[in-house]
Amino acid sequence: MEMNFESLKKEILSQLPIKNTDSSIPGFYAMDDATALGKNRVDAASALVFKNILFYLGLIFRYPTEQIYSEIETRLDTFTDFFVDYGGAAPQLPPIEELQSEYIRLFVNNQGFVPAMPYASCYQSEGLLMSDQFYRLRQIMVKSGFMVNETVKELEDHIAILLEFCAGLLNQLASGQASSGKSSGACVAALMEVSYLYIEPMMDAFCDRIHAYAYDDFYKIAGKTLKSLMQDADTIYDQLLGFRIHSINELQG
Amino acid sequence: MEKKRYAIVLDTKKCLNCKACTVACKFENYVPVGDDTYRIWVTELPLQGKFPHLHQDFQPSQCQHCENTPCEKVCPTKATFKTPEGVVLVDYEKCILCKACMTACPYDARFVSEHHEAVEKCTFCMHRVSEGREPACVETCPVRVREFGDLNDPNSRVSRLLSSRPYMQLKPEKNTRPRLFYVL
Amino acid sequence: MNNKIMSRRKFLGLSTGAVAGALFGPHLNLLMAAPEGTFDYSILPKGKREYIASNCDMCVNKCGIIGEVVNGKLHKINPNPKNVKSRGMLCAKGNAGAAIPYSPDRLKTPLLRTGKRGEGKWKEISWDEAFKYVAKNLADLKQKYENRSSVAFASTEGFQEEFYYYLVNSFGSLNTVRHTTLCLSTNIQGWSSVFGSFPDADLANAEYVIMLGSDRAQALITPDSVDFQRYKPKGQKLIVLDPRFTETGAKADRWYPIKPRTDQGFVLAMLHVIISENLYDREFVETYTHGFDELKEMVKEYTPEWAEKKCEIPADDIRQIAREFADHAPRSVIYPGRRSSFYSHEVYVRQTFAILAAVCGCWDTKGAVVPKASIPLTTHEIMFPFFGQTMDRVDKDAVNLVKDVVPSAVQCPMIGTGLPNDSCAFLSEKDGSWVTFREAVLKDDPYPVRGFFCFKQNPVQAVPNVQKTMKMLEKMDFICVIEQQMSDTAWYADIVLPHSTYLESWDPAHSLGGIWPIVEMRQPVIKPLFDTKTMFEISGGIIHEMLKIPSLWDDIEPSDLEDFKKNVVEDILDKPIQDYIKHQLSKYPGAYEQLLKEGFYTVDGGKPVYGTTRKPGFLFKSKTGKIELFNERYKEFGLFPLPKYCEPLKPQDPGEYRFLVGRNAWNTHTSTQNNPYLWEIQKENSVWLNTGEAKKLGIADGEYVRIKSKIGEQRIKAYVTEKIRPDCVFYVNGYGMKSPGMSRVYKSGASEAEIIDDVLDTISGGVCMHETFVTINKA
Ligand code: SF4
Ligand code: SF4
Ligand code: SF4
Repeated sequence: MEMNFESLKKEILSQLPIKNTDSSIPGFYAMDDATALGKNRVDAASALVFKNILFYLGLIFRYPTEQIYSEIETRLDTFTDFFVDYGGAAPQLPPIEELQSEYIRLFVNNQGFVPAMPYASCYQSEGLLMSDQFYRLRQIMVKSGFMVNETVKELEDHIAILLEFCAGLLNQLASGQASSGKSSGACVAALMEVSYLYIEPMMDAFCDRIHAYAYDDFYKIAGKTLKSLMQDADTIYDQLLGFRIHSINELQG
Repeated sequence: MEKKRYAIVLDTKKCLNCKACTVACKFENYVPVGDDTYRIWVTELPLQGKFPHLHQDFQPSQCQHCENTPCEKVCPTKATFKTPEGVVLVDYEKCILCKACMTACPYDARFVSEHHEAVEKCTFCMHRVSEGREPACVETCPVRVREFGDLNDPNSRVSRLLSSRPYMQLKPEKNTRPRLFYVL
Repeated sequence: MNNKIMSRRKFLGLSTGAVAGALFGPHLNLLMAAPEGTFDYSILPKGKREYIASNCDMCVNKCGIIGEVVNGKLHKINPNPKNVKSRGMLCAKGNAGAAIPYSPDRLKTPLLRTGKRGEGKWKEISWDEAFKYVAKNLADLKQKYENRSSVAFASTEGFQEEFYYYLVNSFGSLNTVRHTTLCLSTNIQGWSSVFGSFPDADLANAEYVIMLGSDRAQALITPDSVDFQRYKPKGQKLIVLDPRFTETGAKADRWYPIKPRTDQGFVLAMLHVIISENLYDREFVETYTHGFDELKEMVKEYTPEWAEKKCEIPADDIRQIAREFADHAPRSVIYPGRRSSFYSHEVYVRQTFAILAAVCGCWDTKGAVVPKASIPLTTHEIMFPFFGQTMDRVDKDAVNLVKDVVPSAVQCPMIGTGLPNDSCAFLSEKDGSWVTFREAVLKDDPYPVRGFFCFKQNPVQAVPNVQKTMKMLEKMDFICVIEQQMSDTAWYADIVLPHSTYLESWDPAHSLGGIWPIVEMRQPVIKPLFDTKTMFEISGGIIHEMLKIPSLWDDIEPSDLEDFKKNVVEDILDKPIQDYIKHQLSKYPGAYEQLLKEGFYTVDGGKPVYGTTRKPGFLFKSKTGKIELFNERYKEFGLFPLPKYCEPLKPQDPGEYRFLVGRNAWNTHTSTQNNPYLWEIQKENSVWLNTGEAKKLGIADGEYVRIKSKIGEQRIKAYVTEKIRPDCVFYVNGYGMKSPGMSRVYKSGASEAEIIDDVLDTISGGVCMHETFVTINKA
């Protein structure tokens, strides 16, 4: 699928919630032009791969009901190489009861507190749910044509939903759906924003806490994998989309 | 109509040291939780006397909205400015975080806010006042230590308090002419 | 960055492999396509603002609030300036309530225990499964013990508590235990022994006020905490007696560091002066009271000189205060306050206060102590079934039950103490007493209690002597906790049901009695964030499942069951809660609408109510129908009919201090310290220690010390100060939590439940928090 890079770049920039777009301040959302100019097409095949990876990680960070558990289980082989590469080991799936109680211990309720809160908001300002940035997220989602299923009682910035949302956006891009009605630019901008302003900032604390509090290796490896995948996001997006936005990282310090 | 001159008058002898005002301000103004981030504070003044003849006062305070404004003077970008009503405000967009004003303020009323990415401090809750609501700290106080109002209106609560009771101001030697008055 | 791309080449390799081909079915999606126009984002970032009236639930006061909601998120809680009880104030806790729904630590979905108790292994279950599970366990317990009272139900006061009682009564247990005995049961009992009810004080109109052991500047009570400074009449005199120089003491005209546990002596001496100098209100005494001559006789010995030795307050000052009090009567207040869980003879202390008010005629008139008026609501006329298999309360008449939990000084020289040592004389049927209840359960006497329900109470933290509470929980076959947070008690449950926060619920109307009576209710300020429910829905859900189990209904008449299904289930629980509320308010046209708009309702424009009992022939709730200075029922029970002075327990060793506990304005009991906005005000507690004593012990301000009682030991910072007497030490409650869960206060500061002995007041069943002696040593 061909795209006009210059107009795409403009569009993306216009969509990002940038307070200060002054180009005289170096590093502010500046595109890496050398990379960008080299490619101007979405690598659809890679996008689908990344989509599947994110979707699968999304499943892993959901409460393992029987259905989810068996889905994780059946697919685990497929993703083994990926886990080894990013997380340093292939995770072993513990029995379902173990996984369920481990999930609750880490992400839902522990004695009065939650060790690894799965919500992006909790890693912003006061550590509470539904921070100011939360509404922006809801807005991006709806703008991109998504909303949380009515039967799901979960907040939009739950890591599982964030990952699934990214997967959905990648799917739109790869399948060209984005051009029908929604623009690719908006789609890419949404992807960048969710990746860099919601997922990335929570990665360190979230994954470190999983590591510190988990009894079992499963979530430890999953956490480590997610964290290093996000560290690699610049280069992956470069590969997929033909440009990189590396300075949001810098902005986040 | 004559322009307004906003002020806060405090009767600190009533203060319970309950901290309602400090928490209300944090929520109202998106002030982050933290020991160094606050627009308003309540000081426990030193205990006086010897057991059992003791005495202690509690003194809430905030930006004094000085008429002679040291912070405004040192601000290189004119981010700190005064409204026609005499309320000292910071234009967050203009603030470059040089912190000159924080050094200049004799009352230690300013801090760096993550939320605004700028130096900030008490605004007299002008966003509420413009809607006809009281500042959050004034409204929430159980014993109503503070009154907010217009000094140019002789019938306002602030004017009436100041004309009927003696008062003092903090650090008069700094010649800042605060808009906060402490009745005695 | 380029290095990374090299090291992660594998990613590209995957594109040709199975990962690329993986297909996930749509049934796995959390997200769905948003229909056009789902969310009007043009309103951002300024946002849509709404103001919704409701009432606070951060403590018992239930102040009026107006939630400021921006784009569906609660931005701030503002006080409701019109509320006649809270008078437009909102304290630190009330403000910090805006963080409650957004606490990531909240319970989010029903959890079922899968590991051992307290091991922390859970699984998520649906509400349907949860209701079934609870109903089945109730049926099993009934089957096994053939006694519905084998299941106990604990709760704390709150608007939803009445729906908890729907569950209790539908099951038919008589074993309920409430928060009252941990707080104010002695106060209620003491004042009621004289006036037949527990009154309020009209601080906004009193000319002379004596506060003994109430810290109204910090332990906020509306409207008192507002009135005592904001509406203080010109010239009002405030006398504060407290072993500590509290914030309230700092506001007093005179503060006396009274010796702990001698308050009664001080007031008895006042009575001595007032009666011997004929300063009392003769006409009031003759018209309304019973037993004056006996009182006169009793107080003869309690001279100010006698009291000076007990209380360490100069006799002349006592005399002067007595005269001034009588002089300003009836606009004089001896302040009832609220929490009174202090001493083992506390009922007599409070009875003495009440008698002082009575003889001076400071009753039911402007500026005096005034019985609470209330706005009656329409109750649902329902009869719960009469179950065959229901035994009487487990702690009723349990002889010798309380022997272990009355102070030894009361036990040994029983004669003359006026306190029973075999049971509680005036235990409230519904409130129960935590200490006796726990004792009875531990002894299986007279029958086993093996099921435990707990609604928004945290006995593991709140009831003195944690070890005993844990033992009690261990005995249970089944524990169900309905809570907002994973409390220390919930942690030991078999099933935990998440309750919505007060900002997300419809709560029924409640009539709050007082000089300014008011009706309040709650409506949701925001939508529930998670899969939580209110007690109304939870009781409904469980009862529906119970109805599917025939064995649960085999000890009632079939016709009773039909009535129950119709009157309780169909007509109430199956209907929207708004119908329930409208019925409660049916006497008052427009009240429901006004509650939606303002969060409260008053008749008569919220004017104060005085004088309802000051009518000749009015029957007080007492044996004689009069205000009883001499209590006839106490006499029947073998208690002191008149509050004879009770000598305090003395420390056993010279190096011991009496331990006092209290709270500050930014925390309620043990539930709020983990809120970031409150935690930042005070991150740990410290123990108040008199300067002179600190010197003797070689302890410097800010140094860590060990505080030790016969129950346990805690480590805490010392606050060396002139603000406390040399013979006692003090800290605020709620810190040093056991559970790492209360992450912010975990192991910071000291917990009171770990050191306070479970001493019991045997008249009302109240706990006595100030009867523990401790030693202090350098840590
Ligand atoms: S108090 Fe400080 S910040 Fe406020 S006007 Fe005065 S100098 Fe400026
Ligand atoms: S006036 Fe407003 S900004 Fe200033 S201290 Fe009070 S609440 Fe805070
Ligand atoms: S709210 Fe009022 S009483 Fe409480 S600390 Fe602030 S000024 Fe003092």
